[in-house]
This record gives sequence, structure tokens and C-alpha cells, in this order.
Amino acid sequence: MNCNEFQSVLDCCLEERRSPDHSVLSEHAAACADCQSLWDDWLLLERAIGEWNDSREPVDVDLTDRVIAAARREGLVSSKSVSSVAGTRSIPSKRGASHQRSVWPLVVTVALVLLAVLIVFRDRPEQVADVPRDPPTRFVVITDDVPIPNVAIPEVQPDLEHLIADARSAWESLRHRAAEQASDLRVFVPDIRSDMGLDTEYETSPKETPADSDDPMPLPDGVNRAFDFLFEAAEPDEPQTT
Amino acid sequence: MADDVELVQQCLTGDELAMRAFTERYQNLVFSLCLRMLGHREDAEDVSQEVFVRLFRNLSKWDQERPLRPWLMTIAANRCRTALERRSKLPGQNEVALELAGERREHSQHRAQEVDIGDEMELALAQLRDEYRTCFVLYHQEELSYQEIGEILSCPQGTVKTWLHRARLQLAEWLRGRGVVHCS
Repeated sequence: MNCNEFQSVLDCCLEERRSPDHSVLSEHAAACADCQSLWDDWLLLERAIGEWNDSREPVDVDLTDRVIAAARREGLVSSKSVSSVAGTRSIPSKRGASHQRSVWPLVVTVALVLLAVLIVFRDRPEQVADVPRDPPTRFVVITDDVPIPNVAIPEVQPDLEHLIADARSAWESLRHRAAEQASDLRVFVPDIRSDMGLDTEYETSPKETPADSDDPMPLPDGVNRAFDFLFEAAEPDEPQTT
Repeated sequence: MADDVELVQQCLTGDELAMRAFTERYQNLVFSLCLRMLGHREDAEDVSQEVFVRLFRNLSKWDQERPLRPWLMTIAANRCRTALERRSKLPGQNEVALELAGERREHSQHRAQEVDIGDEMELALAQLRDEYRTCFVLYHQEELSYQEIGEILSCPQGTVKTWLHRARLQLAEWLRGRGVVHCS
């Protein structure tokens, strides 16, 4: 037996979990210092592992209760199964509670947003009313006796007549307000855009009002172009005053 | 195997009784491995509990065509390695463990007037790297094959052989240093 064969035999014995032929290996180990060292280690471990395994105390453990309790905390135990722990909250209710906890902030947030939107839109006409109404240099006079187009209305049920009348009234009111708003906006529209090199068609920010410009300035051409249709609709027969 | 499949399917529904039966069936296997790996009973109980909870959480991932035991051992070995890593990061833990082991050995010596090789082995195992110790325990205690250990530790069989060989060399060196010799 040479050293390679010696090593190979030990490896096979380890892998196959069997004890080697001591006499053969001892004979070779006696003639080779390196193999003697390997052989001594082998014998030492053979004994040590044997005693180590024998010294293993018999396992006496019962982990079922703590494992089930931990699994219950993790939500792994079904509520339908038998519960041996009194007073333990069932998993679905725990999950449900968690779900409800996660939904409530969303509901409250949505409610707050809706409330804010309602407040803003409810207060909007009042805010517009607070705008200082300096005498405009150009405004539209709209009277309540706007002529109603003479359109033949077919005979319809009374309810429908009311509906049509309401719609017409709403349209007149809307038209009136829109024209008013358009003339009010005039106050905030100074004619400085050409000086600032801005686009004269769209730049209407009130922040650009010069500090020394207290008086309203005339509207430039084109600013009211967007409102022309309102003027035409509201004042078809009356001339605009400046 | 068929029993395992049926039991696992019941556990998957969250059936408490099935989970209890499963735990009772495998708790000795898991706990003994954890005890050998960690050398501390309370730690072994904690890690064993973790093992079962993790297992119940991941039962649906178990390939029912393959045996359950290696899969369970994989989870247990990994949990033990994690616990050992966690323990090694705590200052002074190794020293405390060595002191406890030393006291136990001295007490054992005083009682029997001879070296307790089982205790020396525990002490020597505590000195090994985690992967060497895991290999050694799985091979010599759980009697798993190289292939099974390789699957558990996610490494090739050659690596398992190398780790086991190094573990044995270091253990032998430690035992010799402690005056343990084989009786020829």
C-alpha cells in the first residue's frame, strides 16, 4: 500500500461510514510519518465522535404549544381550526382589523379633500365680490331685460315648459355673470406686456402690474378676444362703452 | 412520504391540529440539530420554533415529489447558521460560551477524574467556522450524505467534502491540544 492508497481508503471509509481494516493501515502508517499522523487523527476522531454521539442527551422537548402560538401570531393558523388557547384572537379578525386600520386614513383624507373642495367652490363668488371694483375704462353694461329670441315654442307638457324656462333663465344668468367677470378682470390687466417683451395674447398675470401704475390701463387689442362671444351674446344690440 | 403530503396539505389550510401533529413528528429532529449546532438549550428552542414557523409559512413552496426531511433540515441548518452569525456579532459571546464549556468540562473532570470527550467535542465544535460545524453535525450526527448536505448548504459535494475534511482536521488538532488521545 502506498500513501495515495492509504489516503483513498480512509476517504472511502469516511464516505461509506465504515471502519477500515486496522491491521493493514497500521502497517503502512508505521512506515510513513505523514500517514501515521493521519492514522492517529482518524483513530482519535473515531473514538471522540463515538463518545460525542453517546453523550447526546435524549431529546426531551415539547415545542408544540409555543410553535402554534407563534404561528397564530403570524396568522398561519386558521380561525376555523380548533383553538386550544383561550382568548386568542383569531387570524381573520386580526387581518380584518389591520385592513380597517389601513383604510381609515384614506377615507379621512378623501373626506377632507372633498370638504376643502366644497369650501373653496362655495366661497368663490364671495371672493370675486371682494375684488375692488375700480371704474373700468371699458366695460359692458348688461341689463336684465335682454331680449329673448322669438322662437316658436311647441306646445309641451307644463313640466317641460318649466324646465325650458329654467334652462333659459340659467343661461341668461350665466351669460350675465360671465360678462361681468370679463369686465372685472379688466382691472387686473395692465398694458405692460409689450414693454416686458411678453406675448400680448396670453400674459395677463396681475403680478406684473407696475408699482407706480395705480390707474387702470386700457385693454390692449386682443385680450378680450376670448370674451368676444360673450359680449356678442349678451349685448347684441348695444354698443360697448369705453 | 404519503403521510407527510397529507399532513402538509392539512397544514396548508391552517389546520391547528395538523400543525400540532407536524410539530410533534419533527420537533426532536429539528431540536437535536439546533442543540448540536448552538450548544445552548434555550437558543435551540428559540431557533426550533423559528424553524417551524418559517416552515409553515413556506409550506406551499415544498416540492411534494421530494422528501420533506432534507428540506426541513435545510431550514433548520440555515436558521442555526443565522443564529450563530447573530451570536458572533454580540460582544463577548464566544468568550462566555468558552467559559461555560470550560466550567462544565472542569466539573465533569472533577466528577469522573478523566477527560469527558463528549464535552471536549462540544468545546471543539464551538471553535469551528459555521460551515465546518454545520457539515460535521449534519454528517456525523444526522448521518446525511454529501449530496444531501450539499443541497442543504447550497454548495457542491466537493465543497462539502473539503469542509468536512477541514472540520475533522481542526477537531483532531484541538483534541490533541487538550490532551485527548486515542486508546490503541
